Amino acid sequence: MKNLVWKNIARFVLLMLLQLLVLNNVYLGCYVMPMLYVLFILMLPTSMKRIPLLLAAFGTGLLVDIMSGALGFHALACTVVAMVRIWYADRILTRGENVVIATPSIYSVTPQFFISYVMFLLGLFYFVFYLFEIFSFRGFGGVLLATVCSTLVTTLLIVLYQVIFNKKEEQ
Amino acid sequence: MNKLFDILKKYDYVVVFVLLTVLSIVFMSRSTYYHHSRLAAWAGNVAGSWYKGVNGIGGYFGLKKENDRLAAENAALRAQLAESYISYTDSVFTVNDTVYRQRYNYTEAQVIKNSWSQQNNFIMIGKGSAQGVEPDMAVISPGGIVGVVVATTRNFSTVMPVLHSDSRNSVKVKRTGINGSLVWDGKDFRYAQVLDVPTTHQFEEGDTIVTSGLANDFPEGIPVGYVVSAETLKGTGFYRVRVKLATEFNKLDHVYIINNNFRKEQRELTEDRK
Repeated sequence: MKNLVWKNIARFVLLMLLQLLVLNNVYLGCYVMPMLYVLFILMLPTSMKRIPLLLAAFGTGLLVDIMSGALGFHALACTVVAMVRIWYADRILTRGENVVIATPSIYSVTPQFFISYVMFLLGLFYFVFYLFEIFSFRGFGGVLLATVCSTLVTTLLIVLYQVIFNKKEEQ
Repeated sequence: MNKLFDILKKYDYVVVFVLLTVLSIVFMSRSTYYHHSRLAAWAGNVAGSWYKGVNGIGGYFGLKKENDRLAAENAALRAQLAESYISYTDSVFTVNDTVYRQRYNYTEAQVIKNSWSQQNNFIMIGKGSAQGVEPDMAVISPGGIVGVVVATTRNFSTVMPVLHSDSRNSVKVKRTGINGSLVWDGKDFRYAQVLDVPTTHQFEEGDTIVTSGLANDFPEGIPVGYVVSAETLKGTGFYRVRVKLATEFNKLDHVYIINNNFRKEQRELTEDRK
C-alpha cells in the first residue's frame, strides 16, 4: 500500500517535470497541445476512493493552471475526467468478478483496452478544455479538430511513456 | 429524512464534483479579469519564482543568439547617436531641458515565462512593483511591440501580449498614416490582424505597421509588423489586414518596459471626460 503511494507520487513528479519543462515549451501548431500529465489521473490506483480521486485530479489540474497563467481550465477538464473515470472504472476496470486491476497501464490490461481507455478519457479532457479555451475563437469545428488532433498526439506520447518508464514498474 | 441522508451519503462524490466544477468556473471568470484578481496575482508569484529558477538554467543555451540580437540593436541605436549625423544646415538645435522633457523611460527586463501556443497567452517578466513597474505600461522587444503589463507583484509582472484574445492595440500604416486596431485571431503566433481600416485606402504588400501612439502608452512608431495581405470584410467597407508580426514571440528573451512620464497627466484628461 505504502509502495503504491510512493509510486504515484514519483509518477506525479516525473509527469509534471516532463509537462512543465519540456512539453509546455513544444509548439506543434495551434491544434495540438500535448498534455502528458493527464496520464497521472488515468493511472491512479483503482482502489482509490472517489472523493480523494476527484480532489487529486482537481489539484493536479490547478497546478498546471497556475503554471500557465490562466486559472481553471485544466482544473475543470481534470475534474470531469476523474468523474467519468469513476463511472467508467466501476463498470469496466474492476470487471465485477475476478480481475481487479490495481493500476491501469498498458501492461496490466491489454494494449487495445488500455489505448481505448486512454483515448476516451483524453478525448473528453480535450473536449472540455477546448470548449472553454477556444470555442469563442474558432467555434465548434475548431474545438472538435483540436480535440481529435491533440488526443491522437497525446495518446502516442502516453504509449511511449509507458514503454519507456513503466516496463519494470508493472508486471 | 434518514433516506435523504442515505442518498446524500451515497452520492457525496457527486456533490464534491459539482463543487469543484463550480470552483473551476469561478477561477476561470476571475482570471479573465486579470487586473483585479489577487488570486491570479498570487498564482503569478508562485509560477514566477519557479520559472525564474528554470530560466536560470535554460538561459545559457540561448546566449549566443541573444548576444547577436543585442549587438544588432546596439548597432541600430549607435546609428541614431548625434555623432552619426552630419549637419546639412547651419542652424543649431539645442536640446534644452526646459524645452524637452523626457517622456518615455525604458526599463530592461528578462522574460522568465513565455507562451505563444495558447489562445490567451501570457508573458511573465522578472521586474515588478519594487522596480517601478505598473499595470498598463507598454512592453516592447528589440524587434517590436510585445504587449501591456496587466498585473504586478513585488518582483514579477504579467504581460498580456498581442497574442491574447483581449488584446487591442492602436496601430497605423507608417507610409500613409491610416489608423487601425491590432487584434489576434488565435491561430498562428507569427501573424496578427489589423481591423477597422476603411476600404477607401490602399495597401501595398510589405507596408510597415507601427504603433500609433494613441493609446496604451506605446510611443509612436514602434514596429508592429508588415502587411501580408488585405481582404475586404463583406458588407462592412472595412479591411481585415493580415500582418506578419515584427516580434518573434517564440524567441523573446529581453524586453523593455516603457514608462510614460506624462501618463498621469494624460489620464486626468480622459478621466474627466467620463
